[in-house]
Amino acid sequence: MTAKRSLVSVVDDDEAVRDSLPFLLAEFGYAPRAFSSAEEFLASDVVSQTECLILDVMMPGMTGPELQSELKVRGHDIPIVFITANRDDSLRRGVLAQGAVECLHKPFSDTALFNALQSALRTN
Amino acid sequence: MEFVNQRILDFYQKTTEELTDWAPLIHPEDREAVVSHWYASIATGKPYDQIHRVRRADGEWRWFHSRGLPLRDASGQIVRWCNLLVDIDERKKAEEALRSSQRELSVIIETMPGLVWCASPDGELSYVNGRILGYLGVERNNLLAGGWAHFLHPDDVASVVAAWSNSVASGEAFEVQARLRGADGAYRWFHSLSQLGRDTEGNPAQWYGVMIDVDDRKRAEEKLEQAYLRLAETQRLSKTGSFITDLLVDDHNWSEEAFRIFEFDPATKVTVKLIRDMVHPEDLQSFDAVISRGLDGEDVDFVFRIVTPRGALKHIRGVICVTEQVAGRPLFIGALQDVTQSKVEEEQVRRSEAFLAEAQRLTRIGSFSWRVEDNEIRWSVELYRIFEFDQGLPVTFDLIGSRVHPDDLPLMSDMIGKAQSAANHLEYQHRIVMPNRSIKHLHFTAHSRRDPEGRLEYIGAVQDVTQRHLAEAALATARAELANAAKISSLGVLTASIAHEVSQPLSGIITNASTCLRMLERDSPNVDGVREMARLTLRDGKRASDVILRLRALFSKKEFAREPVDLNDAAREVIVLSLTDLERNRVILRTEFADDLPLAPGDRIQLQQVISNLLRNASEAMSAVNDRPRLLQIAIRPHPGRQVCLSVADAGVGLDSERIDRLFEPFYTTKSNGMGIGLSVSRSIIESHQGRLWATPNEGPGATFSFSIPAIPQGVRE
Repeated sequence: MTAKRSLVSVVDDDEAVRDSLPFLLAEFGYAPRAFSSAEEFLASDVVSQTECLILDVMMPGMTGPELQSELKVRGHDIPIVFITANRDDSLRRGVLAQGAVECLHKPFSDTALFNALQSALRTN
Repeated sequence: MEFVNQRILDFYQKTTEELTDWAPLIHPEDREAVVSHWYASIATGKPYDQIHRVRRADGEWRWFHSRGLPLRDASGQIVRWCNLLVDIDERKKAEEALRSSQRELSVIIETMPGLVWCASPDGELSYVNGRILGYLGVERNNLLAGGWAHFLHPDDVASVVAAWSNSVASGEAFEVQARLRGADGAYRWFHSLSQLGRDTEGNPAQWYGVMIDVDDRKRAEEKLEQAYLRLAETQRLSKTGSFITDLLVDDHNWSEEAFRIFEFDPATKVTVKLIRDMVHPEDLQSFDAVISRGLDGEDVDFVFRIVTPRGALKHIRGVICVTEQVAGRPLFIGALQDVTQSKVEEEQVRRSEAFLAEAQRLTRIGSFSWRVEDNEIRWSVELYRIFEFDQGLPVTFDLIGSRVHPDDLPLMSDMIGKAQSAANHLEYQHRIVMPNRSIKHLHFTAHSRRDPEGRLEYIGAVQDVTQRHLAEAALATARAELANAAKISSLGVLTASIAHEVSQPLSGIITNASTCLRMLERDSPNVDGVREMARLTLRDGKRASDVILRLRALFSKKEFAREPVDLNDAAREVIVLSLTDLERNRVILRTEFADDLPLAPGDRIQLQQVISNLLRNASEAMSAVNDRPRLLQIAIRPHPGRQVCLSVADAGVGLDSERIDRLFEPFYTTKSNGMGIGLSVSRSIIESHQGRLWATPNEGPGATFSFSIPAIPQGVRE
């Protein structure tokens, strides 16, 4: 375990994800924060401290890819791991092209998520 | 016989003795009377007085007046007869001549074909002949006493009486024409003439009058006058002048109208040169040719143009024929007609026909007329072009049939059948096959009417809609592809939505389980964390199960919209949407809608799905039918028990009675490309409307599928 736990933020409108993922992230050894919308995340004080963002694609209000663009505009180069219940490959290709580290389809395995986070934090 | 004087002896050239036998000297016709009178006088003593003829010595019979007086003695006894013979022959002959001439005059007056009358100098009628009495049908005395004015025609009374009064007053001759009423009540025209006769001293003696029946002549004159007026009027109205011409001496006798047409003064002396100068320069050559043909004695009928003195251009039709030879020269009789108006109209008709032909060519619409009685068919130029037949080829149904697509021939017989039952309107879409095997799609419409003789005829148009048809077919294909794409994409959306709904809690469950395992794998397992994870897992599992329940509820939706449905309207909408498919399958659709159909409560869309399904099944059942019309009949009518019923009859392959019950089982199909769920779904829809769906085989080919559903009870609205 490292001295300083990396801050990993979760943005998802689904309560199940917001309830479950932080426990797993904590088990992985990260410091998790959960937000129910992109707007809520942008308004928080953790945007600049977040070392990796786990981001849902489809959300009411601002969508995942929109948040991805907004962060880029604001100069926050945060590695992003998208998670989505949508099996659309074109969506996945789109977000990867925009610089996302990974796009995982729900439900995903803990290993797949861990590997994605590992590679995200390495790039950081 | 005692004594005879010398004159008697000389007369007879006989002696006194010879004259004792005097009887033979008396004319045989007078003898008996003379002898009997003489003896009667002797017997009675009355004086004797006779006129008779005796024969002179030279044999001539002469009239004598013979008188005898008895001479008596003192006692009154007749002692002798003294007879005196006077020769009265001259006087007697004169009297006879007069009588004979009077008789003759009377015969003349009674026989001559005239009504003869006399009147006194002061105008009093004194004599009328038998013809007058016979004509008027009156007795002489009645006429002489009652006057004659009332026999005149009422219109003639005033003029005749005035003329007669004038003549009587002046003594001048009387002459009038007037109508007299005959015994039969009819009036006839008479020409009446009268002169005043004078005696030797020059004093007025008698009016002598004669009336001659001129009725026939008068009527002939009237007719002639009317005929002449009519002729002039006819010539004026028909703008036709007539003429008689002797071309050799250039003598022309023109009618009034002929002058009017040429705008000549009627006093003009017409010559060929005068006419020729007016002929339009372009027509001069043919005009000269015609005149020379006329001179050769040929009948001619030609049209030429003239420019009148007022500058008007006129089209003149001239008809000339040789009538007779006068002094060895042909005489021409003919007519000149101003045909400018009809020429102008002809030109207008020709122009509008040209416009029409051009319009037909551009729009690819041909027109036709068809008289049903004798199948006389006329085509416009464009219609020949569409069918690619030579112009003017006589059109028959055999000829048309030779082009019609074999599959569409039933349409043609259907059309002929409808026409023979005098349908108002005919409309079809059918195909024709060209000699090069290419196919044209035609749209045919026709309306019935009665021609001037009252015979049934159809006037219609045929449009080549091949281009439109190809475009429509492309459109239909595109629409079908689009519908399919929409179906697939909606399935995709549904799938995605199910996946999303279910994968969210699943995702949570998996994450929770993974976290649990990691917590338990620690050296000091985080039991509180595991408990929390198990609690979240239960919650997410329930959420997934809720999603499934919700989906099941969504798809097994039992409730449907209930609204009052007019089955006529619902079916009409489906028919409109199905027309393209039906036409593509060359189905002939007959519909029978019910008036005053009660509304039925139901789900309009679901009922329309059933109707659409039945139509599609019927159409598909006939797809292999080529030996009879693909007739599809939809009938909507009230059904016993306050129900409404819709039936769809096809002329297709029909039903196998053993299989009828299986038809409605899910996944049962007789179709190669069907899923077999249409009829079972249809039946469940109808049953959910408390109705019934059933199938029956037709008496002829095909089957009928029907459903009935309850209508809104009477008196209930909405």
